[in-house]
Amino acid sequence: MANIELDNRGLQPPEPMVRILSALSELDDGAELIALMDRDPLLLYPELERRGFAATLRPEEGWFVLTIRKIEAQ
Amino acid sequence: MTAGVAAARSPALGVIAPFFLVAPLGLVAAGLLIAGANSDSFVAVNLPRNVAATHGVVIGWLTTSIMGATYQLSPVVMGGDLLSVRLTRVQLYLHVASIALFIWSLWEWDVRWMGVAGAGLYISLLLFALNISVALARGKSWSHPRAFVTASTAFLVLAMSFGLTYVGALQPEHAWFGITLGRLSAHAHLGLVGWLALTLMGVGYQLIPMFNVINRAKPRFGWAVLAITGAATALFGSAMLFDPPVEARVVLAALLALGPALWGIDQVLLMRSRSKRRVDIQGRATYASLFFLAAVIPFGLAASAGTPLTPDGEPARWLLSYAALGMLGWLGSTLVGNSYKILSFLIWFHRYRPLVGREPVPVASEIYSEGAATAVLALNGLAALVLALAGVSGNIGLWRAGGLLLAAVGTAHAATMLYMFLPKKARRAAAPIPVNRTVPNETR
Repeated sequence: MANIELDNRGLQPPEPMVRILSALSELDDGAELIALMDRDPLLLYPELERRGFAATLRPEEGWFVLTIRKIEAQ
Repeated sequence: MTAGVAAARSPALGVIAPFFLVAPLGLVAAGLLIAGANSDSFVAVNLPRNVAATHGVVIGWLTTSIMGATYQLSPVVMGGDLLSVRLTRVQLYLHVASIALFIWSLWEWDVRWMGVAGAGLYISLLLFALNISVALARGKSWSHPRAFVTASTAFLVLAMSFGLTYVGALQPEHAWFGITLGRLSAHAHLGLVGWLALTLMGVGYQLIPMFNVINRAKPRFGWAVLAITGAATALFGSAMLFDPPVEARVVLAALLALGPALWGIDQVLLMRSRSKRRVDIQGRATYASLFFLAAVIPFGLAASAGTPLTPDGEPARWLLSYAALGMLGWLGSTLVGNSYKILSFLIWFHRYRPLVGREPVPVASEIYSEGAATAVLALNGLAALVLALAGVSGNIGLWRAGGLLLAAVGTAHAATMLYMFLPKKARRAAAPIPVNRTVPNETR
């Protein structure tokens, strides 16, 4: 089980979203996708939810760390 | 921090797109009106044809486009849910019917129909203000766009209230007061600076860093721009009602120019620190708008002085040049640049986002034609320059040519907007995404 890291800083919209959604198909169960972002990707969250993923956002100095994981089936 | 779900509130593409598609028709109407101008067009700014053309640009083109963009951006980046998405459709129908009738009634100077159309426009813009105000009130923090658009919406209502009162004053049975040049200027600047410029400047603080990938630099004067422009517009609008003497007009004009000048400095500093080196339509439009902002400020100051500083002692010519540089050059360039980026992103988001990771999809820059968008921007800039030059030189032939150019800009803008809706296929295979794989917890 390996996490995936993406550095999306310096990319203009919607490239960060494309990279994240494309990489999700390679994410193992239980693993996390960790993306460095320039800004809070507001438009990404509903699509993640639709695909069964949840995200948390942590602000760093000058950028954000977005952590995405699959929602566990109840 | 748990991530938000603001995008769920984003209105559908079918709600927003009609605003962008119908707006350029206002520019076409304005262009045709100017192209058919009589030789007396330079005598006064408030001749029926001039007033009709101005409203075609300001309410037809600029305001209708900005309403569409604001309906999209307000829920997503400025606040929360709109009061009603259905209301946006009702408002658009009322707005389009009213502005078409209003431009015609101004051209014909039919004050009765002006009253009917003016009332329709007023209701339309009140509905817009209500819908947007509810969305803005639901915001949690005061970003630049949210604060600027909150203030600009208040100025929109104020400008429209002035306008409707003037239309009422024109009715023969009312004749409440004379509409002097000062009062006309108050109405115009409440609309142009208070509503349009504040909105575009505020949204620019969001979109310019976003699309040009600017992270290292932050706006220096954002809040000062809002405070100064808001206060100066309110002061200008109040004072001009009383037709102040030339010295006071120049001071008021200088105050009015201060906020946009600081905004311009901010944008130059931001653009200098951008990470994305390739300049696209939005970057070009930003540079074009800054050029026109630098040109319109001295024109505005000279126009405020009136006869002593205007060519052949004809202030109307200078005022028309000032209007062309400000409305088409500064505000128009900004709008053209942002419209391609906003609409292409929206189309991509609504049509292709669900397919990402499942099949190849076009990138957002493939939704619009960069070359065609740049041509529209260049044509708009050329139209602004030709009209400004026509005003300065008093050349009516040049003025008419500028009108034809303007009609061409509107047609090309509408056509290129429509082109964006055509289905697109991915032109190139998606490049492999450089990912790093790590064991759990190493990344924390």
